[in-house]
Amino acid sequence: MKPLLQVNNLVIGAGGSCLVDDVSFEINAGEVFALVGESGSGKSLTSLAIMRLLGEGLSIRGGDVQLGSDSLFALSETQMNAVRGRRVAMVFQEPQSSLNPVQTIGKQIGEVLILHRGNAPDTAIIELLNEVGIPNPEERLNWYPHQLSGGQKQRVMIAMALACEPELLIADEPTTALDVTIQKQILELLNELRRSRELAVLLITHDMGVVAEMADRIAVMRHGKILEQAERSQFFVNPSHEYSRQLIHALPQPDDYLEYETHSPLLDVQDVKVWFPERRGVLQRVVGYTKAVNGVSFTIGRGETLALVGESGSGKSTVGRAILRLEDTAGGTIRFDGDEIGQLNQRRFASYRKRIQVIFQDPFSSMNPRMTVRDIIEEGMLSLGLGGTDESRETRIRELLERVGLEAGHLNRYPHEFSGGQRQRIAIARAIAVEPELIICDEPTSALDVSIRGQVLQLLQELQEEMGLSYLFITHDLSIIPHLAHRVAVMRNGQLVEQGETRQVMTAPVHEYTQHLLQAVPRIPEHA
Amino acid sequence: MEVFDVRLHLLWSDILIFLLVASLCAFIVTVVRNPLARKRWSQVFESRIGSASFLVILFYVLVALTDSVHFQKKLDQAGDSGEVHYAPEVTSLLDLALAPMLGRDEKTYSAPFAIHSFAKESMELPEGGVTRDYPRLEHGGSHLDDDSQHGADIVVKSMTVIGWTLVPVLILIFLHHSLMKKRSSRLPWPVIYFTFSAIVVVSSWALYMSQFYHVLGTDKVGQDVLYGAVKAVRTGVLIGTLATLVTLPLAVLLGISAGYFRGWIDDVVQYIYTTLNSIPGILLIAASVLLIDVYIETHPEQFKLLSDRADFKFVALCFILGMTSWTGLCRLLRAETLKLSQLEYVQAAHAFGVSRWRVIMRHILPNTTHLILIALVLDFSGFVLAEAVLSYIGVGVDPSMKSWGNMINEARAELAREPVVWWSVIAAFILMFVLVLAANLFSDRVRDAFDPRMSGSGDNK
Repeated sequence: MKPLLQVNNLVIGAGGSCLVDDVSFEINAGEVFALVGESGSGKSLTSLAIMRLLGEGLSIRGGDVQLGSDSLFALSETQMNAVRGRRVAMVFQEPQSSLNPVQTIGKQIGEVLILHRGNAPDTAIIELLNEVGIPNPEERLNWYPHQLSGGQKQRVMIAMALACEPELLIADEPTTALDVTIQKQILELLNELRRSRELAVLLITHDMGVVAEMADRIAVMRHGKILEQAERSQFFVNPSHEYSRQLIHALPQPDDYLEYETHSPLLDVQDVKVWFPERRGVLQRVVGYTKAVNGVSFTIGRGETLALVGESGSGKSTVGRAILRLEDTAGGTIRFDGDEIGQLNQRRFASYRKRIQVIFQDPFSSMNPRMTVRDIIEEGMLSLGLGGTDESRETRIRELLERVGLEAGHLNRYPHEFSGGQRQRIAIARAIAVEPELIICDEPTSALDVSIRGQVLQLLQELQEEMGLSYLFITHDLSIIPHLAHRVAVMRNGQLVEQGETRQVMTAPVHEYTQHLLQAVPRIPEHA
Repeated sequence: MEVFDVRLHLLWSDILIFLLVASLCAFIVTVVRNPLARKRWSQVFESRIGSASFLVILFYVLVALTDSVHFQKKLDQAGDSGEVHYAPEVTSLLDLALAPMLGRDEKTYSAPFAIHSFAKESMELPEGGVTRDYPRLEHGGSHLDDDSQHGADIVVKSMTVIGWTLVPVLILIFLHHSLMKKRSSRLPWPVIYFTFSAIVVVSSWALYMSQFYHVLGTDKVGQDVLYGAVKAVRTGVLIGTLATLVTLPLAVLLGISAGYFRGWIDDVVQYIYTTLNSIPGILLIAASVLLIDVYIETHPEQFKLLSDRADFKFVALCFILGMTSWTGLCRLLRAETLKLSQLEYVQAAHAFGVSRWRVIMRHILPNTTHLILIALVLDFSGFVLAEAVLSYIGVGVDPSMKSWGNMINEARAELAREPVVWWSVIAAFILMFVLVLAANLFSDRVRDAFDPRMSGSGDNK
């Protein structure tokens, strides 16, 4: 059988550099082909080149793409427009920004239908929404995107992509912005669709778990080159390229649990509530509360890591912010080392700032772009009066940088000159500069590539051993928990549903929600 | 000692402009001491556009400065009472430099380089009878023996003065160039040389030629337009900078505190600027200017000289303009601060217990500089133009004060005339255009250099 899509020796360049170099692969009808790689490896560029949608400054330097019997690069722009949407459709990562917020979803799907088929009867739209699993499609036809959840928006995006019955669906990180449970649903939907429609899917992702669940064949990309192409069974059992092996091994071993030992308590949180008032009217009267955190209790011992797990909107980050006194609590007590800190004013809390620090999720917004690395690390030391004289502070900053795996020569650079992983190392250096006892890690690795993620987690663990740090590790990524956290607390809708030792929670979850979460995590077949 | 028979007479705006220059010098000293800031600023000057536009701005500022040293000339002793009397009008250093243009007034309009008046007049012929023709100008081209040499004379004189200025300029450049060979410098010297020689040649040409002709013609009452246009540089530069400097602290202080502290502070600030914005700006300015007029009328003892009154009105106008136009920038800064204070680096600073003042100074203010800079230049240009509008409705600077607005306003009626009187408008337009363009280009480079994300992207052209 002739493959549906054939990419032959594709070369994409920008200026003097070659971004995609000699890439060839093929996809058959009804097959899911995964293009795997870390950010910047050229996988999205490849998909854009297939659609001939490369941005300004990028150009196709060579090669050719065959869709069925047509050579896509030989088509005129008008002919290509007929291919886009009708024969090849795309689903993007961020459903939030892919839908127009001021049009109903029915209208947006209808637009695609009209463009390619000429008419858009409501029945056709309802059928599509039904197919992608949107409940009550008749009613939701007239809804606006903001009325839908993230998962539903992604379903709508898939419905739009399917509207013209394409032969090939390009899914560019379709589940990266979604929670695990939603991710599972979307992946199941894609799987079902390709079976029922004989759809070829080009799946672009960095998540090996998703690949293991979905793909029939896999290609690994790095620096614009395909390093390895293999069947799924072959790939996970016996990867032929060193880099593929690294990628697979960068994944934490699922049953490599940290030994649990008892620790003397450092932080004791009892029944903490964070309520955000809802105000209405001219006088801004408080008419009700959004209960972001509603009665959460846990303790963290010295040198212990507690993982706080939950989906987006569960209030886990707010707990962290409440402990840091960046948010006022509406009730409950927070005891740090025996002292009540939950109700202290900012001035009295200042002495605890040195002892409780934070590392944020996004390494791009957690550092002031106009400050040098030196200023960034120095800020906390200066503000809390640490580090002594200028010289001793300077040596300390250099030591810190070297400790987190950067060079002391980087001191005068700006954050934008570093990669995401390096920036996260700077953020870690900033936090440990004041020698804290507790660090609140708010999703510190979710913006990083797998291999970098492993390194950063490794660094955090080393620092824990050296300095006896305690971590409150806020995350939605269940796969990293086993070998990172001593204990786990699962959060949902502002409340803890379950907490306990990691091994116990992960292997024998008691609460229904925890079970549900764990099932949703994509699994990788056991590898040698 | 005839030269020293003068009395220094400082106007309020003179004092302000020199304070401004002093603080600018202090700023430069701090920049030179700070290696990082020095690197950033040298980036600005290493770009071709940056250094060229800076030279142009510098030239304008120099003209404005020389025009800001005012003094009164001593009058010839009339009586023998021994009392020393000084002239009622003030003169500036610039007036001395522009001496060739002074005291050469014609009767009315005349075109640039013309030797005949623009309007026909009835003249008595020597042999009797009356004819109607363009009269010969009294001063323009008065050195010509034969009127037919007019065209040739202009070319010859222009060539001579350009030649004579180019020689010392080229020697200077050559000397500097050979000196600089030993030191490495990344400044774009060819562009600097070119801009410098262009400025010197054009200004000395204009100065030399105005000994013989009215280079930019004369206005309705026969005054030299070039003189007026150059005198107006001070008004333009001052109204732009002073009014901007009044808006800046208000907008920055109120905007950032509203966005950062929120709560009742935000409510109060929003209330103020909404109220201010709902009153038509022109009305507010006109009302304030009339108040100032009344004040001047009722306190004549404070304003001994005519120029004191004009100057007081001018400074007041700068403040009024500034006070009424900070709302736009304030609103922008409030929104930007609202956004910035939610960013994780501000949260991280809070987690370090960094004081609010320091958070504002280190995290929020530097990240709003691009907005401030853009607003600053747009405001500067806007104020220079607003002055023209205000002069039009009669609430602008005092008519006795030279300004581009007044020039345009006077020439406005004559634009409908056939043949058109174009030189007043064009002169004001060109001088205004060059200043506003240079300011815009310069601020563009400054913004690029101070945005760390932009540096290194090969933008240093």
